[in-house]
Amino acid sequence: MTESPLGLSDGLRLSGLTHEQLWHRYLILGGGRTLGELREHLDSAACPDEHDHNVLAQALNEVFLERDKAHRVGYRNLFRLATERQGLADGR
Amino acid sequence: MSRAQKGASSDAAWVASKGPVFTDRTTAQAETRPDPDRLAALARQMGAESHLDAVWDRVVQACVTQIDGADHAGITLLTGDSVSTPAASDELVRIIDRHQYATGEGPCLTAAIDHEAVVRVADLTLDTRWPKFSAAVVGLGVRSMLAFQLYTDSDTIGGLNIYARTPDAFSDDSVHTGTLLAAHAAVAVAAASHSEHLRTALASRDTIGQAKGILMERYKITADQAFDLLIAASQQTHRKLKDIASDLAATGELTVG
Repeated sequence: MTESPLGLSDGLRLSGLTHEQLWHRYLILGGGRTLGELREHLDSAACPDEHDHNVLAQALNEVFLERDKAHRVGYRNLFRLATERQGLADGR
Repeated sequence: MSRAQKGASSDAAWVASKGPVFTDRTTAQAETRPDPDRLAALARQMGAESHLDAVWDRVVQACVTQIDGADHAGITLLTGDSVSTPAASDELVRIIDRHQYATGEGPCLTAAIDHEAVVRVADLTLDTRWPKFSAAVVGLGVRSMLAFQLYTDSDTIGGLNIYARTPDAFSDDSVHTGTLLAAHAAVAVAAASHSEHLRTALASRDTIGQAKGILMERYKITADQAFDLLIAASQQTHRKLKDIASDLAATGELTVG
């Protein structure tokens, strides 16, 4: 059975990362927001920027990848060519 | 004989073969510590280091020279669920730490994992708090220990561990000096760790930027769309995105499994 993708807040909680640790991983992947802005994203119900959401989701998913965990944080509106390659259900 | 006992026996033989490791502290060290000026200078030096390894080495050396009674010193580092010893004054410390990590108990772990700011052990042969650890290291020649939690306001980094060959080797002054060193070390390590994270981040961002540029040119897509392609490749191959990007930047090929 396929589990429903996690939201960012649930993914962060399960990862055990602090906001600062997630921010470091987000920076490594090319994210450009400040730590304060990242906190705001995570504390609000909806992340206003799809790309930032996807960078954060990838940062969290790499934590689960390191731990061989099946959890997956969902992406938002991934580029169609990418979803065709991967078969993600949440692509446009 | 249990595996732990065999390991302890083997370690004891190693210790016996390394007589020079247990050289007496120099008279100069014993007479001048704790030295406030020296401690202040060490704090500034640690704060100026931008590489973690250099900070660890300075901390360990400072402990051996500045803490009254100290014969050996080492660091216990917490990284996620794992523990390691990134710096030690000598091999004996690494051996002792391995026993702590193998038995899952000991003064360093109590300080680092159980968040006890200072753990003081007057005599390991009499202390009953860590029976498996004590049994494993009793033959190694260490009798007294101090373990300090290394922490900042936001994080526990690990532990700073001091060892002595004699029982009751540490005074209240030893604890005071160790507490100061641990506090300075934690701040310096946090700063150096931050610098290393930033260096790593910059290098990875550059690689990912190159990979996105290749995909943008190849498929006539935006930077965000190129990043999505890298996400897809990462998820499909169960590899980290920066590794996918590195391969793409090096070979021009996007690995998708």
